[in-house]
Amino acid sequence: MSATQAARTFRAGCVIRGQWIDEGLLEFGGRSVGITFLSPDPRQILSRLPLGGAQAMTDLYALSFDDILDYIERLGVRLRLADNIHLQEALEASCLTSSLTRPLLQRTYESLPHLFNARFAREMADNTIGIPYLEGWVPKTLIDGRTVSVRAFGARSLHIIAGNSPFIAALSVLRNAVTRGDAIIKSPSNDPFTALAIARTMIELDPAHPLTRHLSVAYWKGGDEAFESRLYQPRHIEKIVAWGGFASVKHVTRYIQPGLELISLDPKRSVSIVGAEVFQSEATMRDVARRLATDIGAMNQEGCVNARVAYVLSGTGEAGLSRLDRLARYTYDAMMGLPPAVSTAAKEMDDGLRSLLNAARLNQEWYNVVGGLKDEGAIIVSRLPEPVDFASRLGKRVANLVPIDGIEEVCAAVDAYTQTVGVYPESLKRQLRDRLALCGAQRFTSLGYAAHAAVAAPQDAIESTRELCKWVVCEDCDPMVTPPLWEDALMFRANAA
Amino acid sequence: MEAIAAVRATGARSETIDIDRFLADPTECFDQSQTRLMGMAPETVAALQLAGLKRRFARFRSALPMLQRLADSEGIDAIEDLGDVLPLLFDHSTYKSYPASLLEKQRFGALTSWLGKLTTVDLSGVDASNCRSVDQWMQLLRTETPLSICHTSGTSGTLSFLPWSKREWRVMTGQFTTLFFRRFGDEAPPLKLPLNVPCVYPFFRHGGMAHTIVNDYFAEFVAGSEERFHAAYPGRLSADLLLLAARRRAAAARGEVDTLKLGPELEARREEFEAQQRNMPQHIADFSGAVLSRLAGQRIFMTATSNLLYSMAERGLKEGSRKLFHPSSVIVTGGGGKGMVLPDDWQAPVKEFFGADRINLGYGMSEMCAPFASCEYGHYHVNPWIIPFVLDPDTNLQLPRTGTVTGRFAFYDLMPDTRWGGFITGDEVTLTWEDLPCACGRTAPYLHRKIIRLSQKAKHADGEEKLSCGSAPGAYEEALDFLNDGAA
Repeated sequence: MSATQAARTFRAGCVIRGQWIDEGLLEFGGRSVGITFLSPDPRQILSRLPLGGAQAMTDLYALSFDDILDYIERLGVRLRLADNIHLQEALEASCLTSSLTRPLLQRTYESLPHLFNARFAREMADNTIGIPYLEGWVPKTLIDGRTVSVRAFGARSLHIIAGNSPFIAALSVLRNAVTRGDAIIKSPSNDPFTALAIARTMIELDPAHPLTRHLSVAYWKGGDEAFESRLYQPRHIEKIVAWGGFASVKHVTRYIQPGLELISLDPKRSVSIVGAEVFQSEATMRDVARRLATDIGAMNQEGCVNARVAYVLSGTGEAGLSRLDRLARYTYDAMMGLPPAVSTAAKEMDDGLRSLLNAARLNQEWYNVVGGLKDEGAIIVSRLPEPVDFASRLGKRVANLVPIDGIEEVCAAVDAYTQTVGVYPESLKRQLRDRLALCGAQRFTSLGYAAHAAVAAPQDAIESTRELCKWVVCEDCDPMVTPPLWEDALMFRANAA
Repeated sequence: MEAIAAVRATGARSETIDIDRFLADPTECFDQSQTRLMGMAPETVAALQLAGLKRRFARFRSALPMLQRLADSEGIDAIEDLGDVLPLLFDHSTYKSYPASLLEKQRFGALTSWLGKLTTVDLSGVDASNCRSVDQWMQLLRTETPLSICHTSGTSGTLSFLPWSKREWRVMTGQFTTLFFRRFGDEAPPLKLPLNVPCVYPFFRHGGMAHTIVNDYFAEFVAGSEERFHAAYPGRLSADLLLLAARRRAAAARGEVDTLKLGPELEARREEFEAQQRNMPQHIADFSGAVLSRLAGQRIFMTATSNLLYSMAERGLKEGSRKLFHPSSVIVTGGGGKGMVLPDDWQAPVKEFFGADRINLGYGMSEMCAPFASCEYGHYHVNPWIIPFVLDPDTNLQLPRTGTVTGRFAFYDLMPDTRWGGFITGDEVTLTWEDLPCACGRTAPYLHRKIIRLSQKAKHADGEEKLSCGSAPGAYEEALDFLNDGAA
């Protein structure tokens, strides 16, 4: 948006447990956000945001898991962009606030019915938690004879979500539903409407339903300590799920105390590793280039899953570098050819990155820059076996191919901030995964699937969906079987029988 | 020989200006008369600047490989209009576009050949393969070539290197004295260098940053002797230690685990740095006590950041000192509030303590010769050897060259004859063009006092933000602490 253009104003409102509130509105956003939006004064809704006591969640336990799936399925039907005015409005607002371009946003909204789907939700719940634990107590007899039953209960949670994709808001709603939690979603300023649109659709679907009545969506300015320190208290909230940038996650840690825990989905970056097999044939090179281009360009490289640096076992001699130059050209071409619903030129180029790219272009001795003259994206080939100094700033479809001679060098590619490692070929992935996992890597996938992550799996090397639950234990101990302490029994002794 | 028939704005006298002389040494060309320099008719300046720019481009187009590559890719072979140079401006990235690993791996030979693409000075004969530190490398270039390169404080985690020549520093010193030791409207005879005025500098005597390198030239041409140059710290501001500070800060800002290790070179100099840190309190005490009182009542020359001047003045006034130096003393400081928060009336206690009847403000940067001096109306007048541009910060397209405009500042500095003078800054300025001249009588366009870093405005904080000169000492001391605590 140009400096002179005035920001458009949207009426946002908020949702508190099945109730739509749009009074006492204040103006938020502004030129830096891309829109102005009206949302209730956080101070006025503060007292209504916390769930009044955890026993207020009993209604969720009148539901069977099938009831939950049924609700999700019915919600999915209503989340069709073509028919849903709230999503349509969210799309219009997002086109102004998001770093993503319209075709990408539209495709994401269009995919919501596929996410809110009973089969999909069942698989996610079963794979990440285990449905029996959500449905009831799962008993197991231990070697000392007692029976331990475990059940996963929903928690009162606050989700401070990121706005780089509308998908994050949707996933947060879904995770709350399958875990029978009570969620407060704090909308991000770069996506102030998606969670709200889903919550409003839920009200229209069934305002009295327990799942509708255990979701709140509101906006307040992150860092508003007067507000946060009153809400972020163990008596109101048991868990905070914090997505997003280093500074914002770090900010949240100040509220963490006994009784209030943090599930941190902190900033990550991702890499690709390509074996020498890529150079076997022209067709293989083209195939790998398309996969690499997808890992770089999908969702315009706005996600933590996107590849930014790719290490290629091309060799670092002249022949190796010239092979790599060719792969870079093919990757660039493939990226330019990605469908607009998958990837487009960036909405707004990062000035600093452009200047770094231009400076790299002037240093042919060290870099070969393919493309990037029109801010459309670029591939930088390093001529030294190391990433560009500005690797942490890569984005806007600008990626860096790094030549290496041996597989040992790829350990340098990953650290505790590395989320996804896309690998080609599959055999190399199996060869590397143990070693790289110890270095910090959190997800390995087939090259080309980095931005197409499984939802029914752990995230960032933590079981975030599982951690949303409270894991409660119920023991049955029979003194005849498990020797009791009052008889001065030795602890941790196996049952003689 | 090409000459421009010049008219002075006052119309009192016309003269002929030889462009080559103007380019070689703009202030010398005007007998160091600020009145003549800053009072030229706008059309004369415009003619000089266009002719000068054409010459510079013709000379550098094929002589500077970095420019050549840029001009080739932009398809620019000639300059017909000032605006033609815009696609060819360098920015801060250009001067640090070497791989940072060259410094870590001490590949100073490769770094030299990179630098060679930014200067017409032939560096092919320099053998830097034995250098083990940035300090050594910079000193080698200074000993063996006509260059005296400077580096920036480098908040991004690495240092920019600017290939200034010694001749350019000398010319810059002449510009500096013309701007700050002479006054506009003053028709006195040319200054005779050296001025033999004692210099006071409340920081390191030596170092590779622009404001420490220039000490060498101030010592020669202003102080007239090393004995008359009084720095707070006698040693050298180490580039290697600043680099360490910059890398630590950049890593911390990215939230990265602190994995920085000291190289053997820094380890070996630990004792030197320990001594430097140990002696700092004594040096600053001697400096504020003995040195300053020995110069009491004299006309001195001093440059310092405004926050340093202010804190020295506050402390001194509290201790009961006032009117330390002669009222005609020349005190020059960086204005333009780059991240500094000083009270509005900060100049009053500074004048009261140091005794100078005025504080000279300048706006400048390592990439530009001599700063723009502020007039009595608080306007920074553009020196005529600088071609100013104001760009739309979003599109980098040029804003009109009339009236008053606000945008990103860019310029072409015509003075350097060994490196490309085109540079695009990260500063947002408000500039008033010649058609609305300042009441002070200078005909040159001027920048308004309020200058801000665009990165501070930007919605996504730009990691390229420079440390202001004012915070460099802090970063340096932090690095000394780190080093001497053995925290690595």
